[in-house]
Amino acid sequence: MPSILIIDDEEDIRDALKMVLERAGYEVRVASNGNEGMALQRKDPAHLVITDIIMPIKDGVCTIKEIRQEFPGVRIIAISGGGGVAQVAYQPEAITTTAYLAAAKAAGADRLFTKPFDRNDLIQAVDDLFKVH
Amino acid sequence: MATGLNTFAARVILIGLVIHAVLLPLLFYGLLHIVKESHEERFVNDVRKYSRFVADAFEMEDAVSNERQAMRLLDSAVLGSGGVYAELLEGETWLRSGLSPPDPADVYAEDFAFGQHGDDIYFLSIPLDIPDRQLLLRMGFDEQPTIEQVKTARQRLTLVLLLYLFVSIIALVLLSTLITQPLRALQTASRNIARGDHSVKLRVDSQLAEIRELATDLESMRRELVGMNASLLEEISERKAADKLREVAENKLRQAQKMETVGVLAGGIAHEFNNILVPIFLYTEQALYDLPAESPLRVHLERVLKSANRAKSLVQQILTFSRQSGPQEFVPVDVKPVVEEALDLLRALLPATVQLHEDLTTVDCWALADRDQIHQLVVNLCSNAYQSLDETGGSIGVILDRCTVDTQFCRDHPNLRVGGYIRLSIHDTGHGIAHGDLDRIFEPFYTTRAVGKGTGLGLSVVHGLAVSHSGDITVESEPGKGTTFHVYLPEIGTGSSIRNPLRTGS
Repeated sequence: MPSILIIDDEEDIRDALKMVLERAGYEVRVASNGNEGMALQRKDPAHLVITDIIMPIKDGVCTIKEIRQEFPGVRIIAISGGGGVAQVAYQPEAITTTAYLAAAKAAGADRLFTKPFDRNDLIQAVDDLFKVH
Repeated sequence: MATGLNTFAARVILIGLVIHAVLLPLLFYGLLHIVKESHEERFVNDVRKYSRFVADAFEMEDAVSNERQAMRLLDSAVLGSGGVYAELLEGETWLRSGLSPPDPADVYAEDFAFGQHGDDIYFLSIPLDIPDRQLLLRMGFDEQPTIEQVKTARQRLTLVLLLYLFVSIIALVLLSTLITQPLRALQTASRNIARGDHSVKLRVDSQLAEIRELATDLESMRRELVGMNASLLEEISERKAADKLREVAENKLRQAQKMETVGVLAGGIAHEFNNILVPIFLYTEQALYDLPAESPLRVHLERVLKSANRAKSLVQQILTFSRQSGPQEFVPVDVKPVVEEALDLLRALLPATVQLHEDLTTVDCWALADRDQIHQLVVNLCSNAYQSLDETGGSIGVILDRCTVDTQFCRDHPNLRVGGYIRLSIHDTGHGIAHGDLDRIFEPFYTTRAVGKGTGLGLSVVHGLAVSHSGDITVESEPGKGTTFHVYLPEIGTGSSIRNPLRTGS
């Protein structure tokens, strides 16, 4: 059964994604940050990783880089809360959501989603990535 | 006009009268004395000469020897002098002609003075130098004619002096008029100036050099005052204009600070909000996916989804708004196709009751801009226009043209600079905006719509977009008739000749 690893610091989002993807017929495991996710992935590699970008302990961009290095064949979807962080207005050079997504793409993410996203779009993207796989 | 004793004329006349009151009696009595003296002296001299002449006649002709001849001589002496009395005495009266002497007691007195007796007769006695006889010639002359002459002279003197008094008073009045007349003219003119009529020239037609000089000096003072007044007024209006500019700038600054605070806040909220929306969308959509097509629950879930979508679009607005504070990369954009694209999208969304008129005949509307933001600006303004229409519909007009902004316009809209602008005007026939709300409609979260009918962000986003493009937005509205928004974007020539964008606040 195709397996998916979900990494997000928000429990509600993890649970919702897990539910939707399980109902779509995938095997899903969850982690609340990059370190936890990497540990899970090393123990039992998933075929696809869906990761949030802005997270405590280890952020999404670092996680994507590590996965790409250790598991080159794994498909990656990066999601980010549109809007970004509070410093934006204070620091003109601060990285915006768009920049985060661009960084994720550069690190090797196959697809990018901005929160909130459509269930059907997500399922579609996951299905497509597995087809290619 | 000044009246009473304090006036110049009154003072001059008063002083004149005082001087005359002292001088005229002195003059009168002095002159009268001289006249009287001379008349009396002449009378006394005349009668002395005459008496001597009569005495000589007696002495030479030896008339005293013949009584008749002596009497005739006496008679002719009285007649010839017009005298009243002549007599010869030898001890006592010997011969007499004319009236009797009034007071026989005084007969032998040696000297008489004029006017010493109440009977107005001047007595004179001369001893006759005739050998062997002790004869005395005594004559009386009438003083009355001389007294009359003095009286006449006195009357004439009085008349002349009164005439002189009269003439000098008239002269004084005329003299004071010569001074007061032009002074009054100056007074009237300076009162007009005090009343605010500064154009009155201080000029007098006077023969007096001092008055003319005074008028000239006052006139140059007036000119100086007029000049100073004008420069003061100018200064005041400049200061007022500067105050107004400062006030506008302060308002803008406050507004900018408010916007920035809201922007920072909004960015943080948006991030959290998007996270919250994720499970709402996913669970709802999954439920819809799972439910059979005929389930009555679908309607409820679709309502949840609709609300979630509204929340999503609100967050998008907030994000756009909060991003305005960051630096932006603008590229030359022809605004016209962007507007057309946005209108195509809107046309598909607007109901049939709303007519969309467009006048996009102006070509090559190049501005340094962000395509997406211009797109959003048009969509926001048009949806704002649509929301202002009531249920029966109405029309929305969109015009794109060029205009030149002048100094006056810049004063009212400090975000703009003098020069060429591309102007996007969006007009609606909706209910309009109350005058009191016009100043605040660009503030974030300020809305005149009912709760739930608008976020209050749309126009503040548009405003922020216009300003970040070095432009501005203005609004004209008439309640009940409609509203027009004008968005100004600085024009950059056609494609090739791109000048530096004017950044606000730099």
